[in-house]
Amino acid sequence: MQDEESLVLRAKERDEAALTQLYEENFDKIYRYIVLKIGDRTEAEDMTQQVFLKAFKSISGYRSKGSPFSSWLFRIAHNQVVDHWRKKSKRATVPLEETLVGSSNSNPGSDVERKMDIENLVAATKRLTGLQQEVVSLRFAGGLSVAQVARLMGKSEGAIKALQHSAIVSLRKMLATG
Amino acid sequence: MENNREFANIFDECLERILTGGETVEECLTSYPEHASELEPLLQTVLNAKQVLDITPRLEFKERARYQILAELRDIEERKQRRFSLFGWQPRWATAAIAILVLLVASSSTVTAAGNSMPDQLLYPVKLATEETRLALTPSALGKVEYYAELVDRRVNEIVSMANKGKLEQVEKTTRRMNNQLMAMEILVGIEEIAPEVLTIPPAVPEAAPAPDELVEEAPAVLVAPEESKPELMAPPPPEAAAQLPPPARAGEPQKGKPEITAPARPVPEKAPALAPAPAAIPALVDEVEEDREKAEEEDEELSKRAKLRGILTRNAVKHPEALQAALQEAPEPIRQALRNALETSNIEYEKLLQLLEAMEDEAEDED
Repeated sequence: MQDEESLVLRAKERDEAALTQLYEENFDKIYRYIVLKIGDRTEAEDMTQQVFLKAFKSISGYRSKGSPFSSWLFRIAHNQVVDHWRKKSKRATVPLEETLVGSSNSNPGSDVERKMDIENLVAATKRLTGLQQEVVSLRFAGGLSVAQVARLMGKSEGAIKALQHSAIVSLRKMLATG
Repeated sequence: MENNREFANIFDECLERILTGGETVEECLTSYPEHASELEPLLQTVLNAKQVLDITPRLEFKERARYQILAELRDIEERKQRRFSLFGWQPRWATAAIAILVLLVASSSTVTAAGNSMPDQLLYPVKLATEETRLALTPSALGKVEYYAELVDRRVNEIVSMANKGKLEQVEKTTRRMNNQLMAMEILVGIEEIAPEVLTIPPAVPEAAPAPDELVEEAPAVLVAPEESKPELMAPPPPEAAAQLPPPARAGEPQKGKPEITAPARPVPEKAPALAPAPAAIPALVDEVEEDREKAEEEDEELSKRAKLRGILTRNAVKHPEALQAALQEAPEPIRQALRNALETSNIEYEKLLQLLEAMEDEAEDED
């Protein structure tokens, strides 16, 4: 945490090496979180870029309050996703299966398998409650610990564990039945 | 219920052991044989989901996005610096004109009386209108920021006064005004992105005038410019003088366009006569020395203004929350939330402003 604090301090001074390190350490996690939330890999890339642009532009106002820098990024990403759905409701959507093509995996057979898996997972996650979705996205796509998720969502660790359990039970049922 | 909670804890413990501790599902199940049949499919579901989510953005996109983000941040920094460098330039003619106008305006007894009015009084709109007028007449960004700081100070006093009287609506309205004024300060100081033209002030001399760039920037209004300088501003320099002397400031000559009200005559003539008879190359050297001195003076002035602004904001950043906190202690319950909002706004906005000013000062020092 101490290392991250000094890194953030340098980033606040627009130290490009520090900004790059924060970017590299967090980009993929934020990207995965957004993919699971919106199911569109290409759009998730653009949105992740926007998250980092917003974060770095206003980094001078960032205060850690004991949470990792990534918590702040996830909060911005969450807002970005909310905005996305607000705008999306006003325009046509791209079919999920089209947007999921383009994985870095070069094996075509495996590509189809993975595409279907992601599609199923995104579809199943969308049928969870809002809180369950958030816990699953932050825990398994974002890689946050239960404590970090609890802090970010303003709930107790016990509540997060209960949400995590109920979410996985529901996901399992949905994925099993298709 | 209790069983569910216990199982949720066991499930999470197993997840942690597998995801971060490197254990296998089987190893974890042996720790909880009584729950194994229930745990196993759930853990497998998570592992499958994690596997599916093991995706990454395209490498080329990630690289390009990083480049674009850093480029945009650099661009913003450059714009901020350009904007802040303008703070040092405040046309003195404008200050003088404003001083006259303010004196005229202030002479009105109504306006004077309104100056001390509170949001629940009849003359309060006059007070707000006077503030707006003065803001509109303040041409420089730094001047505006300083005045906004004064206005926020007034708003805090008004919030406290209205809270003491138990007037919730007035507390809320005044808090919104205070918030707007703090945000306006932020925008002017540069925490938000604004178009650079916001700070652009049109030159006060005709474009055709053969005045050097420096004089165009500092050209005073005709009303307050020294009489003798006016023809020189409009008339082209003699060809031989133009050939020998670069335009900005000729040694021994009156400073063209420098308003006498705010810029007293500089000690140039004392140096210049000794250098005047020197060969043609010397006046150019004098010009350089003079330019350097002027530049140094301008930089000192800018630093002094920034330091003054920082001092004001630092004091207010302590004084205002204290005043609001004190009012909060005494306030009746219906007012308390509104005061908390005011307190939060004040804390957040001052922190942002001071951070930005500090960053800019550090950058200025680094450049030195």
